[in-house]
Amino acid sequence: MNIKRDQLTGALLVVIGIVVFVMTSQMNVPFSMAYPGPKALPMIAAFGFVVCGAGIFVEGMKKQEAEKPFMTKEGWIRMALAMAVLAVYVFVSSLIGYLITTPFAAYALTTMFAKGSKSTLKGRIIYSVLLSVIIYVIYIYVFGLSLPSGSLF
Amino acid sequence: MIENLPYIVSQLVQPFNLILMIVGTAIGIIFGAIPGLSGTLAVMLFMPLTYSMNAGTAVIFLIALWIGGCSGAFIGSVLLGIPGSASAVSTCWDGYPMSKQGKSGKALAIGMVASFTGTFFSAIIAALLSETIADIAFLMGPWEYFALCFVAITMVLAISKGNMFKGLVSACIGLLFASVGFSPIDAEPRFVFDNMYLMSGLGMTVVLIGVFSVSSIVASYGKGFGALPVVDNKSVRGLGITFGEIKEQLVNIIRSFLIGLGIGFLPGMGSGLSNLVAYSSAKNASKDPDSFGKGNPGGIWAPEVANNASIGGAMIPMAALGIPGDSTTALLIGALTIHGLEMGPMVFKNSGHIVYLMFGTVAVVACVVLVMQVLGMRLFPQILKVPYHYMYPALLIISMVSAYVDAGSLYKCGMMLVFAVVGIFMAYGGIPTAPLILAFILGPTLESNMLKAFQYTGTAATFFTRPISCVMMVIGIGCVFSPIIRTVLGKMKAGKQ
Repeated sequence: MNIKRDQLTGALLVVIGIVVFVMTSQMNVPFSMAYPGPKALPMIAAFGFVVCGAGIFVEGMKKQEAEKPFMTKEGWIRMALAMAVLAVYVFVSSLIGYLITTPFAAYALTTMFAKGSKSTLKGRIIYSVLLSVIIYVIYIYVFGLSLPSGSLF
Repeated sequence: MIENLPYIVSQLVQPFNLILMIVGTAIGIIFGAIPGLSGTLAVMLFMPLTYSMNAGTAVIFLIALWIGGCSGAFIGSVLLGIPGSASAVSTCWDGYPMSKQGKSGKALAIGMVASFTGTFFSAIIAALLSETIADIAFLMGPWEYFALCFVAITMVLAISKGNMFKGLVSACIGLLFASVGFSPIDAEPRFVFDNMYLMSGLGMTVVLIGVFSVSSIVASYGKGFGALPVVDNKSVRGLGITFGEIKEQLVNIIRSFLIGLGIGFLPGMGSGLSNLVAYSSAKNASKDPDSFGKGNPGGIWAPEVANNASIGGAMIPMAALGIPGDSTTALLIGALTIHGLEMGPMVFKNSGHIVYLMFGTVAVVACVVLVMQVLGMRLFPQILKVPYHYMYPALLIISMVSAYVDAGSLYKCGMMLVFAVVGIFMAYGGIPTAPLILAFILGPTLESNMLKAFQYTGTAATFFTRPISCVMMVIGIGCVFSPIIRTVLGKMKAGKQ
């Protein structure tokens, strides 16, 4: 059976709604119609997740026309790689700081994003270094803000 | 109002503020012009830069980004036929055909003058009306405030694309995110898992940049950027509009201005809707409606005056009631709270000078935008040719840096990546993002007023027994069910025919 995107989305939303509902129910605070208290907002959200998730699921079932894929398999891989680069960037920044990590992260992203378009290695390197330095100067010297310095130094 | 003039002038003429205004406007125009980016995103990304600024400087910078973004949106519509943002969708319909006829210069000039007209005059009206409306707002209690927040969120649902459930669930995601941290009134921890980073809530910058900026860039990369757009450089020269032509469009301009101002004033509505309504009104009122869509200048005047007039319209409920007129004003409310400015009727008593600085900045930035656009018209095609592989990594790095500056911790950068996954999931499921912004930012106000209302009367019935609250609640409920109502009405109409 071919599962439609709306069905998958709806099912996931229902599950999230149930989880939120259970977690909210476990909060040790009173809930009454006279004063709903801190449980009210998450309960409303959970209720919305379940009802809307079910609605989206049913509407997905009713759809007759063939669905255009959200992304190709290669696209999902590219997206996962980009997210991985960002995750590594965050982790390494926590160790060796912004200034050393950012040119490498910017270079990696520029190279990945440039695939299939005109760009030179030299251009990408210069751009990555310049970008990192410009952001550093603006944040640190112009606005007096701080950037990750790294725990190893 | 007049007594604040010396303060406004003193702030606007400070060299640092002037530089920030010009830089902010230029960044805003670039973000507005490039399809996929927007003034809202510019405000989101650069908001943490304002943390070290005083409130006045922060207001000037943020407003410059916002107005620049709104005014720049027509550039993509005219030159590429792709709107820079939702506010310039209908500008494409006549702007791009004019470009194809070799009249890019004229189409751009109309966009510039129309944007200026809408922004400048709506700011003046906002400055004149806001304090009066704030005085009326003193009569409102938590019931009315809850109802207003409810309407603001649900009105976005009524205009969100796709089905009702998807709009509603987006708002629920926003409410769930707003629930994290200590609850208002009772100070009860919710979904914090003994994690100190979650105690103070999720943080607006982290959530919004993750869901909107990072997710959309990464998803665009996954889908493939495609080739850079082809822009006709040759016809981008000369302004080519005369006072006679402006006079000819005067009725269209006034009508579109009023539409924009009115729609902007409605909580939750904004330029995304006003440009469409103004365009169809202009077409319906035209003696030659068939020429619309084929390069009729009226089809640029109407949406551009209206979407920019929505700026002033949206500022009125933002300043007077603390209720955003659209997603960007919702962001601004959050940003100003960080600077100790709680928008709402009391703001005129406590920080009236800042509010009037806000209105003054909008009017001045409108002039700055006009000058920059006239002088920099030849550069517009170059803006649209910035290679994706240079632009998007820069935006991703700035997103990361913004998340770090917002919280002073890389933990929040990691959280931002989690929200990016949420954003990708929303894009996968076709769930709109605008209701999430409003629900997330209005969530705490909505909840605290709801709880206060229950504390005072101990029943939900009061929401329907107080006249203003009742009207708002009925409108809000109507908005939630508007897709069903529209379908039923459509079927009834079809049945009659």
